[in-house]
Amino acid sequence: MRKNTLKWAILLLLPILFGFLSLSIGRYQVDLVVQMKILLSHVFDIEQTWSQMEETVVMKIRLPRILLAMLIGGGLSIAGAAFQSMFANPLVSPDILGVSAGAGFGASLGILIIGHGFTTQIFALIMGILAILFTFIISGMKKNMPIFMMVLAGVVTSALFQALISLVKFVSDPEEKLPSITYWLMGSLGTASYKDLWVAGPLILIGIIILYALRWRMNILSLSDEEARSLGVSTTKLKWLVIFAATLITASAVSISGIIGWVGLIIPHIARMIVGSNNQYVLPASVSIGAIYLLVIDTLARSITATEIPLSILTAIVGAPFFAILLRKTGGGWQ
Amino acid sequence: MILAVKDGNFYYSKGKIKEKTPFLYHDPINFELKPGEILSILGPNGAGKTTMLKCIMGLQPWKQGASYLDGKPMSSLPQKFIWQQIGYIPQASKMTFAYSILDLVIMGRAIYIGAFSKPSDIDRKLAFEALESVGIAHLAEQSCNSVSGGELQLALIARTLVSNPKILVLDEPESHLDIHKQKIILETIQNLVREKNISCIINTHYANHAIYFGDKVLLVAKNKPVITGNVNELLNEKNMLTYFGIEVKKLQMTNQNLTFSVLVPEYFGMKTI
Repeated sequence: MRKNTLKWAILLLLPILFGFLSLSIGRYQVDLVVQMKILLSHVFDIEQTWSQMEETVVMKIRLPRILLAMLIGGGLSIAGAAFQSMFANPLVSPDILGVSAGAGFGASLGILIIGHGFTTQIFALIMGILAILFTFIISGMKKNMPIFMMVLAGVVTSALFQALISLVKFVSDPEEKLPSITYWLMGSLGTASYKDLWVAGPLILIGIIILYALRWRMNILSLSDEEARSLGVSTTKLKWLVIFAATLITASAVSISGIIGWVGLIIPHIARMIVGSNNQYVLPASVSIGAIYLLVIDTLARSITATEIPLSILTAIVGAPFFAILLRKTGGGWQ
Repeated sequence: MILAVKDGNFYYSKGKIKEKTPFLYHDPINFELKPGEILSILGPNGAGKTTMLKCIMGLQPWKQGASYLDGKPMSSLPQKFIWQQIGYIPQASKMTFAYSILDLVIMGRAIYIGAFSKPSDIDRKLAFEALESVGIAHLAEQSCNSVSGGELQLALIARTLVSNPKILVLDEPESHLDIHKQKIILETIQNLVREKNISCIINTHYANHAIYFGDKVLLVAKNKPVITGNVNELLNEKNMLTYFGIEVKKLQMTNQNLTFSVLVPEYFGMKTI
């Protein structure tokens, strides 16, 4: 029991610690003490001994970006953990039902027609949700539909929207729009602002809270439908709720940061290696580890070279070896 | 609690074609099960034994007839109530996720745990007691993918026990198990039925296991009449030939004050002298 308490204390404190550290890291160095003073000056009355530049970097540029990275990382991970459990398939990621491809298409189209900005983000969000609806229409929306029908429908939807993304790329201006779309599709938090945080933050947070509340029930959702029913649990409503929450998270995340692969697939596995397979613990641990992971990746993305590196490249390049080592060492926690 | 099926029958509907498909069972199913009774359902592969279990419990709707709990049609009863009375134990299969045995058993408390809630210490305690009652409490912390098939089957039995069912329904609990594990499973079921005065329906491939329970039996096979009755009347050489297409000999032996009774296929151990 004491070992477990320690584990959870670490899982709770580590994201906060990393958040503080990340605030001071970057091409514009800010001293840790100064940074703490800047943060505290918004709560307490502290005399300003730092430059306006430092204030802007910490409060206006880095803080919203760090908060978004943690929210999106945690959100995608808990959505992935919930989906893996619901589909009883460890290879599932949050975009299995086509939400990422849909949102990606919405954003590409938005960039082509209007350019970057708030409207494009809303466009992405709406298209992501439309893609999910499309998946449901294909799968037939029957009451007791087999879960693989839904996965297949998601694959069809993804393929369709991927093709539409390609179409948008094909017709877009190769000098200006095409690189912009391509870059966006690889994922970035480079343009993150408080506005993004206020729009996407609450949506992602609602999704996380719903899934967190359902964490123990996810164990039962991972059983076959008949088994779950024989335990007195009607799974249909629960499934809709899980899909709703995961879609809210993924569509909001994609509309802000573009498509960030790998996080939602891998983090739940790392969580299982640490806390075991019980979803009551896997889901909260996924939030914490996912938040740390995307924060570290994003900090690297903005600080190791003069130009920003797209997130999807780093999540895989840093994540793959790390995950490979863990997999070799623990056997994946499947036994 | 008395479980009864009246006039039950089923057919698989194929897609949207409205034409009438033949019934799966030659005759409608009829039986009544009182507390303390064990009904063994026997029949060859493909006779629809698992489907029958599902229909009895309402996991699949009867196409004709109905199941009754204490005289009330099951379709009129709330799901929650039904699953507090019936404990369904499916065939043990490997899980996708390696839950611990205790976590698996706690899932049996789902009815009592709210959707947005988590198991309490009481749930944990009851789950542990259920594991003790089937004799595998020492495996509580083990992963359900690292224990043997028999132990997993016992854990699934324990999972239904935590909600104190009045009726146990088991689908071939002793298949894929070695002969020693089979004995443990059969003994566990028999003890539970006696101690808790509950009733039990069990699908099995082994006529001798029905003889072991020595209670009611239901024989079913494709295009053969469905018959229900006592083990002693029904499990004879003639019926085994009709329903399983196999010649058996009923061997009976009395040794001091014990009687052994067993059905042996003729091809076993037969040698010309």
